[in-house]
Amino acid sequence: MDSLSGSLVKLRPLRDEDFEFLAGLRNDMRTQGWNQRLPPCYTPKMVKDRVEKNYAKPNQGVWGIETKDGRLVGYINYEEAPPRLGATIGVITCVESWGKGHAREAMELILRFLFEERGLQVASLWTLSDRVRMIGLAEKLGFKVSARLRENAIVGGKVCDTIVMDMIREEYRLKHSKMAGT
Amino acid sequence: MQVKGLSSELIELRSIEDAQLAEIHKHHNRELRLELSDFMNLEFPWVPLNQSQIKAKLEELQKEERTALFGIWSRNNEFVGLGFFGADWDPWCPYFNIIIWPQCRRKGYGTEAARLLLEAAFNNSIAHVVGCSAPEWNSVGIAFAESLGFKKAGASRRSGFIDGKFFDRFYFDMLRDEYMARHAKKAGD
Repeated sequence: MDSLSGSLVKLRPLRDEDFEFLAGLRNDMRTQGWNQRLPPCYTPKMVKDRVEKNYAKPNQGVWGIETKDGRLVGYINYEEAPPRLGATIGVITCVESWGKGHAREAMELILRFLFEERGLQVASLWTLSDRVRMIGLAEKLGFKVSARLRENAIVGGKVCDTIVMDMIREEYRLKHSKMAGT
Repeated sequence: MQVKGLSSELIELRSIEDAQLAEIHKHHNRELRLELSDFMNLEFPWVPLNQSQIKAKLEELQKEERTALFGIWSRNNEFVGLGFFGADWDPWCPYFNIIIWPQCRRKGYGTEAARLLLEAAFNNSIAHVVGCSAPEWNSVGIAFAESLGFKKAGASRRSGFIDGKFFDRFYFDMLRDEYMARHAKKAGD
């Protein structure tokens, strides 16, 4: 397989100069991602320390999402649990990148990696019920809502649900027919 | 004001000490291998553990802040099971797990332990919703969660592999309002 590169973006290892941008994503309430709300006071060093601590093992990974003209627009990560069976994916892109297909292609690249190279059985993601863009994107990619954990987050003054979405290997194969027969 | 401890006329929740390891070890190496392995988040449920390995795993369970592992004792001082309460991810939505030894089941110990934990979560913490989960093969655990009034929230598909096939993990939750309504109804019975 080619490196994690598509027509719009490529996934590349993070660099020291990325952490200021990533701290900005972490500190923007719109891009904090699925989470309990966190204080928007992360520093680049805190992000770097977290990345170095969390992604040292072979069954997890994190990449910067870079456009073809070399702009970093977000990051994407996965963590296998159990290893070689399933993985949970996280993706965050900056607001300026929304609607341009960057997150979608980054997700397609990582799904291909997880199902074709890691041979996983299931990929999942956790998001919030008010993240309609994320839910819509995941459904387009073939994810299905598998659980709705009621009222376990607060966003923008409203209580909302956590949405668990997943896609099993056969569903990925159907959605991405070139994998049929593997 | 004196805050009530976690005890009732039927059971008492106490800390686990080294003296309980033999009992836990016995169950893990007999009929509760799967259930205790799931309780301790073991990746290889088929591996028989010795007492010190079990001790290490139980200690690992409590490494995160705001987690509690405890034993469940009957009023005649019999060690009847284990419980775990976790608010490490978010005290807004803690979760718990209970396991009762097979010979001590159907005596109300699990239900009473759950009642005490729910009371602690909703009356002595800011929990808005309490969750629990059970793998598909644990029909006893699933029935137990539903009997307590938990609602099925869905599942993570293919969360593991056992006996030659994949299994899902089911999630359950109970909202504060649901707990209060159920509690008020029981108080009025």
